[in-house]
Amino acid sequence: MAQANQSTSNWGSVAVVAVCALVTVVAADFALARLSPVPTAIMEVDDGIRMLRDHDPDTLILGSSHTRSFLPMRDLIRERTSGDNEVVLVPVEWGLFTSYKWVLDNRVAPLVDEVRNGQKVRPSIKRALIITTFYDACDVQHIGNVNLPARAWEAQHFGDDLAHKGLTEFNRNYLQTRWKSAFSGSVLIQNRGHERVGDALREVVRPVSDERKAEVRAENVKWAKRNMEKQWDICWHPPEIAALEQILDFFLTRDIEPTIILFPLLPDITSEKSKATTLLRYEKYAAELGKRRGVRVVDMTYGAPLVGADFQDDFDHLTREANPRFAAWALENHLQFLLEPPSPGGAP
Amino acid sequence: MSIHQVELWFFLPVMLVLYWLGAGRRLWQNGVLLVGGWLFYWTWNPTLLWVIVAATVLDYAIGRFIGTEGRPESHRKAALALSVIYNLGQLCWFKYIGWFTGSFNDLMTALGFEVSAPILKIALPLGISYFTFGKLAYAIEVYYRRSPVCESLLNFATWVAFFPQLVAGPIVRPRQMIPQIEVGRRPTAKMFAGGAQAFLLGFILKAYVADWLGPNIVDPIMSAPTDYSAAMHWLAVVGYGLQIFGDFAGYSLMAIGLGRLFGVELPENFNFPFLSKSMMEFWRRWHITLNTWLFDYLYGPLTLSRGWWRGRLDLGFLVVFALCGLWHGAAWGFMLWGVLHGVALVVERRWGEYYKTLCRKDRVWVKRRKTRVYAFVAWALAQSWFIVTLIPFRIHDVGNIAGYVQGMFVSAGSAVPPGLESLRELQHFAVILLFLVVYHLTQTRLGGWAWGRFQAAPAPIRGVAYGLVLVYLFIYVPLSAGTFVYANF
Repeated sequence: MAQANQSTSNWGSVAVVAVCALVTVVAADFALARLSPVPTAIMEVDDGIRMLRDHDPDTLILGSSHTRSFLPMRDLIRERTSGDNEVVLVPVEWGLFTSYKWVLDNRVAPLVDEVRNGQKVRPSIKRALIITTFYDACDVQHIGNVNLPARAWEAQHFGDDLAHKGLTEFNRNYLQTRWKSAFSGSVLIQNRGHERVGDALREVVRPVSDERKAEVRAENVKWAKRNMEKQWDICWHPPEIAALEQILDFFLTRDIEPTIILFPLLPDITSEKSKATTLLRYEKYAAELGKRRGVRVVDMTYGAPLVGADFQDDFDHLTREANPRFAAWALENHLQFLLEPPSPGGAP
Repeated sequence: MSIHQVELWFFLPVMLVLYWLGAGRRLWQNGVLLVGGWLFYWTWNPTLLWVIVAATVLDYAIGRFIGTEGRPESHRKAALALSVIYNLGQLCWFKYIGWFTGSFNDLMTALGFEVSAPILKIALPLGISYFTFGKLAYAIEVYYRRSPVCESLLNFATWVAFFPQLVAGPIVRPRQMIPQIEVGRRPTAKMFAGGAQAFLLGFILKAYVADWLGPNIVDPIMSAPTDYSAAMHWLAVVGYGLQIFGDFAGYSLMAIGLGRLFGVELPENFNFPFLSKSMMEFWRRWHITLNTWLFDYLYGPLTLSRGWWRGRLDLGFLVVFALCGLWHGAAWGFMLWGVLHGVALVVERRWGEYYKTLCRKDRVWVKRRKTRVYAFVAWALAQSWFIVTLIPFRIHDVGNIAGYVQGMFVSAGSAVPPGLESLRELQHFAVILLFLVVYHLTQTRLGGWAWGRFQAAPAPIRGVAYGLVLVYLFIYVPLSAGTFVYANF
């Protein structure tokens, strides 16, 4: 079966078969993109590093994927300070504190410490915000989602890892990301195997009713609630806690004033149990850490004026529409200090 | 590096361009293949590249030594022995040393001695079982003057390190490949078309069939069998049979396909084994290159030798298949699996002889053997035996094997594996089964006719059909696929 028929195998027919197959795939890609659009590109470490390379900001925002919600805040700060205050943000998708530490050491530090002609290239950085939730202290062995090769590696990091360990399931993520980025406009490549396209096709043939969608959402909320309660066992991992301390060391030794920000959680997925366990432990730890290290801690876990509709379907990130509202609210409340010029001495 | 993962799409285009830039120039083409093969090997485990390099150089030198005219027989024999000892020694060291010491410790403990030999955990070099058997075949063939000596180290090393077959075979004999790479190759449309077609088919078997069946049916049930009903136990075993078929036949087809893209024809490794009506036939259709190797270099010499072994065909089956089991891995489960297949062949041989006596007595038995009922029963028995013997193949611990077999008849579990949980997954299961049935139907007269019609259809129609298959794979096959089961053997 695998042997091609000799009579049909000449270069002309092979070329026609190949071209027709390619045209079919491209046409299907265009057609399917109407049903299931290519996912919007999210801001990644590379984008943040590019921003930092091009600017001399006074505030650096680093941390979990929630850091992306601060992008509208950057514009607001610029606007309200007439461009005097400049903010740069480096979000790390699916990260933990050790991931942020890696990004800080390997991607951010070379730029923060860059010296040219005996002068620091970016002398203005005086403030750093560390965006976090309790999740950043989880044990990577249990969550298995940290993907630095895809999110933060450069070619040299991949090359070094390859030379030491060969091609592994872990470093292969770097190649997968490069492969996908080469076809950023293709829904078939971007959504390959994720079944989003399949689900969209199914939705055309047999649409899911609104009742069923509400049921699914309710089931997912229930699952997320239970999950957060269970994370009491796994989200207190000493290496992650140590990494946060090291991140603080990094900033404090450079006279940069760090602020730890506990990002808001979707109220629907917090239960009384998780509030009294998983979340409380983290809040208490952050408060104690702030006191011990002389660092400002802003706890927005519950207080932000956000409702269920302000969060995406992952129950974790804010929607595009909610981000500016959140930014405006935060600047009027807990983060008002970002509108002031940074203190010349940096860290208190 | 693996031939079904994303890295291939970085590696393959570069290799093909470089390779065909030197079309017809043997040195250039073999140089590209060798460097590419070693790079492929290096990316698996950079610290173990020396294994394949050292083994290549040694066997090349031994081949030259053995093949030199006028060399005393005793010297030739000693050189052959050196090759066998080095190759098997290397295989034993990397693959079996931990198992040997563990079994030794267990035996000593059972005998009441307090011995605890340290169990070494050594990384298994990629494809060592495959290239070792290939090189052994070379030394033996050259010794018996069945194959000419490979005079060029470059050609020899290119054969050993040919990257498509490095991970999981097929086991390529020297005479199957070396003559092809002793001359420059020029691209032909037939090779390219056949290569792409074989690769696509292999990819479907591996990345869709095997990689869906594993995590959705087989693994959940096999890892916690007591949670599942007796019917689910059966489903998992049948699913495992289909999974390893998809995995290994898929890999072999992908390797054959890639070989053709470089103008090299690799031997067939699978020939629709699920159509077999006896275990002997099964082993002529499943992992063909391993089994012909075992019969040519082990079973034949053993049972045709002048000594005690001569004519002991049944014992030969048992020994050869026990070793075949052991080749798959260092575990008693593999050994048991091999012995069970040896037993099946013994029973089949005895049955065949008995049946011949019946036929001699009454010709009606000849007619009965040609009936559909006989064929169906023979097919059902052969396939059932293959499926049931997969239990020790998959579950190596003897206690767990017994528990699993018991669960196939009585089990209070009621869990449902992920593959049967939702309509979406059931659709995949149905498509996979349909694909496997259609694939095998191409071997029937009607199926062969239909496939021939498709092959003869206008090129645009075939192109669109292949394009639609690709679209389906893009939608449902994730970018990261699982590892090959047979890469571990």
